[in-house]
Amino acid sequence: MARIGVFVCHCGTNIAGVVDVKRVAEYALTLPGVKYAIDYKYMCSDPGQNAIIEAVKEHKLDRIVVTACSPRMHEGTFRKAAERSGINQYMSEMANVREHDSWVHSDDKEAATLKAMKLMEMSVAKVRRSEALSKMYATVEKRALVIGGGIAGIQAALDIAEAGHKVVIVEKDPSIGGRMAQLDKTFPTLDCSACILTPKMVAASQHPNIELRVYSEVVEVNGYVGNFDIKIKKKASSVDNKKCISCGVCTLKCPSKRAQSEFDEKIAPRKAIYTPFPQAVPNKPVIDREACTFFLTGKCRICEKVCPTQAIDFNQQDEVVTEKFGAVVLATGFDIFDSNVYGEYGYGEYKDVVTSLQFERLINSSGPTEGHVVRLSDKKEPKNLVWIQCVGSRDESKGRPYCSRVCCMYTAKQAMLMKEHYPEVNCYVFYIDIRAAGKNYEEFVQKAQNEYGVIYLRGRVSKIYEKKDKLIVRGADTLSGSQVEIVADMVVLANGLEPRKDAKSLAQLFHVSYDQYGFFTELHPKLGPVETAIAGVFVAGACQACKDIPDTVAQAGAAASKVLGLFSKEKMEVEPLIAKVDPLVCSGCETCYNVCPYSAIEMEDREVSRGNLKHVAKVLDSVCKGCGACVGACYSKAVDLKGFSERQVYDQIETVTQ
Amino acid sequence: MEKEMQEIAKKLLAEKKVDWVIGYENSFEPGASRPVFMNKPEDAVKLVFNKSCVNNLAVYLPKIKKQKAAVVAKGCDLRSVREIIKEHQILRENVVIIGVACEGVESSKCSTCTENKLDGVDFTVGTVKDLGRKEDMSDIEKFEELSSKEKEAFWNKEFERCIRCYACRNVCPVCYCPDCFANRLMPEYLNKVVNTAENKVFQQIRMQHVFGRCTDCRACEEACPVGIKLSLLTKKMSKDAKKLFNYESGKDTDSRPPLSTFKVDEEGIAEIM
Repeated sequence: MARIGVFVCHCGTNIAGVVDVKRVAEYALTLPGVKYAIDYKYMCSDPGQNAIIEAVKEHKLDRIVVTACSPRMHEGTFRKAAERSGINQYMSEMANVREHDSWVHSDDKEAATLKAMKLMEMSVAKVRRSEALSKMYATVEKRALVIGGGIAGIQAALDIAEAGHKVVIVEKDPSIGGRMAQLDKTFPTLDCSACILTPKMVAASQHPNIELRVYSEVVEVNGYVGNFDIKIKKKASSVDNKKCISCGVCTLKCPSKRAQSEFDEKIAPRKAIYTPFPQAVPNKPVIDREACTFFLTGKCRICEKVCPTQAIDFNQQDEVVTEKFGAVVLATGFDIFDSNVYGEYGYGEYKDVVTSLQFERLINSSGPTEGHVVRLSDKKEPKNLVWIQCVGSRDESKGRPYCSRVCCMYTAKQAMLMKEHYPEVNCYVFYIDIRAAGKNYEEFVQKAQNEYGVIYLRGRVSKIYEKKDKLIVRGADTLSGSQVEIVADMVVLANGLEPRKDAKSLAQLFHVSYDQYGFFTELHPKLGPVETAIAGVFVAGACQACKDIPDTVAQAGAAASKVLGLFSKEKMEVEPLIAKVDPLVCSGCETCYNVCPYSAIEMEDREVSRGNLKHVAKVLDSVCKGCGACVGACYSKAVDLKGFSERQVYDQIETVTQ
Repeated sequence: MEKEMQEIAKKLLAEKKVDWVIGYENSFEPGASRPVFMNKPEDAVKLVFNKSCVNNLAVYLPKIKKQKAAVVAKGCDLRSVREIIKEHQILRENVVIIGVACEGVESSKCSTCTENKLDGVDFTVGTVKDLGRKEDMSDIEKFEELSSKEKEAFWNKEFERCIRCYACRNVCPVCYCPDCFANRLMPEYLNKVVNTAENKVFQQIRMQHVFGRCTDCRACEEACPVGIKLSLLTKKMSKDAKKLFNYESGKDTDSRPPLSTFKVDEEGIAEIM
């Protein structure tokens, strides 16, 4: 017969103020198997834990129930106390009478007390059937995978590599650098984006612990924390990087004029064999097979002829490699909101309505116009420019109710840069509110208005239309209560941020959850901002939420430190609360195998009785997370969950429904 | 047609291609037939096929396990055979399917049968004709229109009669679990007491288990000694599996039943946010 001890916590007045804790403890003593029950002010305090340990020794208890707060809070505490008292730590149970009871039923003390008694009784019923389990350990592959080679990925990789661990950066474009490489200057200091980014890109490429895998994508994920098996596909670049000396002759001589530069936001052409930008790392060209004349028509081969090292290899194939990693950092960054959704702004219809990123490329001295801001329609310098803020931000009707956090700042920056380059131009900004919460941010926006003379108009733009070669911007100025019409030469849309289009499919590979927009969901909005619900997978940068560069770098560093924390252990403790299969009951229908989200079930032919080989399911102990999906799916209940066995749960249900 | 079938069975057994042939033989009652299991070539003459051959013989296949068997299958039974192969209860190479061109047996399903085609069988006995029959969902649609109260009253009346003999489960080709939840103790998923409430719970759980796997073969309804109208449930499930998941059980041997797979975007189901 079990010898159970019940410990009823007051939690100060949190529980005792509502629940009659004495009555709960007295009731406990009437339950079969309960040999000891007390109430105490703070069970989690040192004297409280010592009371448990002494009671176990004195009354020879073999299992305990603590009636207190949420197990999320103190399950670990009481398991450790159980361990110290000499019993197996999985012989302890908690009944949550704070969050589930006293906090929510403070208006009815009698009912709350009865509920507390029931909750305690359920835990007693469960612990009666508890079994001693031993901790399991798994090895940790001390090698990290960073997905995304923008500033978030680069920073996380550098931090992990500096601590002495191997890192692989997977980047789907031909170069690392990401969005930050496209920007001209950064707010609020107006220092050159490329000047601060390129040293980091070079540092990443030259670091002995970092391996760059550009033009590559993750295609399959198996395994679990400490032991991920990840398939990475390297797209065929048609260039042998070992032979290529980055002379650039191929790009120079390539006759193809089909493609538009993705890096220049499609405002300039690019060749079919190209590096995205001059400072690309690695500086090796790739052939865009959809634009290459040879791949389309079978004729040309000019790059092959001019290459001094015969590095062009038209027969190159996609390569897929499977590698082991211990931890993963997702840093896939953002796309800008699709301007076409706002038909009234005429993006796509009027050439001189541009996105904010296109403007960055126009004003960037390494951009297609070498920093001369000109209209895309007639290449003339604009005299009047209008910025429209919140394009795809804070707009419920367009499905984007959130604030993108960076647009107010970069709008002020772009207007200031414009004023700096061309002091005689007029810059107008239509805004809803100015959100400049950050170090020196408000001052920056003030400076744009007061020192640079950027004119801010509070209101939305209702329509843009073309009149001769001018754009008429019609909008409201809600501060003066009047309609305004501005004759503009160029309109810049301050697009909001959204996750990359393919972020959802990547999240699905890792079983990481995401919100309705596709931003990866962190473990806890406050206390777990870089972890995900999947152990060993961390997030950094704008793939988790809209962020500016300093926040991204900070989060990348935080993600790296989490990875390093994981790598600091030789072996990782794994909870033994996992599924197990009864091979005699199993029919081998493979339903569990198909529903398991962690690929933790394997089918095997097993000798269940002498000479009787049977096709049955088997749980891979270190892969199983104990989610219970298989238990729910199994028709004959051949699978059970240790620590949450069907018998325990049924006993609990029976207790509560009696 | 019977002759043809007997020849095939005799040859298979004589050449030791299979260990068993599962088919129909005449019962002691005139005009009735019953399943027969034979392992000697000389027994093959017993095989018959007529209007009384209602039984779905696929139910015996999971029990053959590692041995090889030939099975006589009507077009409708063929779906069950495929479902069993799909769920790894028997390997395709261990089963020889003798398809019979059926024009209807003494079963409620035959008047609306569209299943008499014999795709993917090893032997075809007789010639498959287009019977010109059409699917008819009017009974289900009529039932769907009833209020919850009326439906409950109807099923209470039906399951009041149930004696929990488990015949429905035992003849079901996809109810092959070696240890059914209904028999389990510790925990006792189902009270062993026979009353309307428990009887309903049993059938509800069984129906949930066979959803998307049931081929609406009606074996359960035919086996029921008290005549519970289980086809209302099985037909409705087939209809829903098609509507919600665009899935028809037993049409192939490699897709997975809808409730044992996971798709992020299920087109037939509106997402609830």
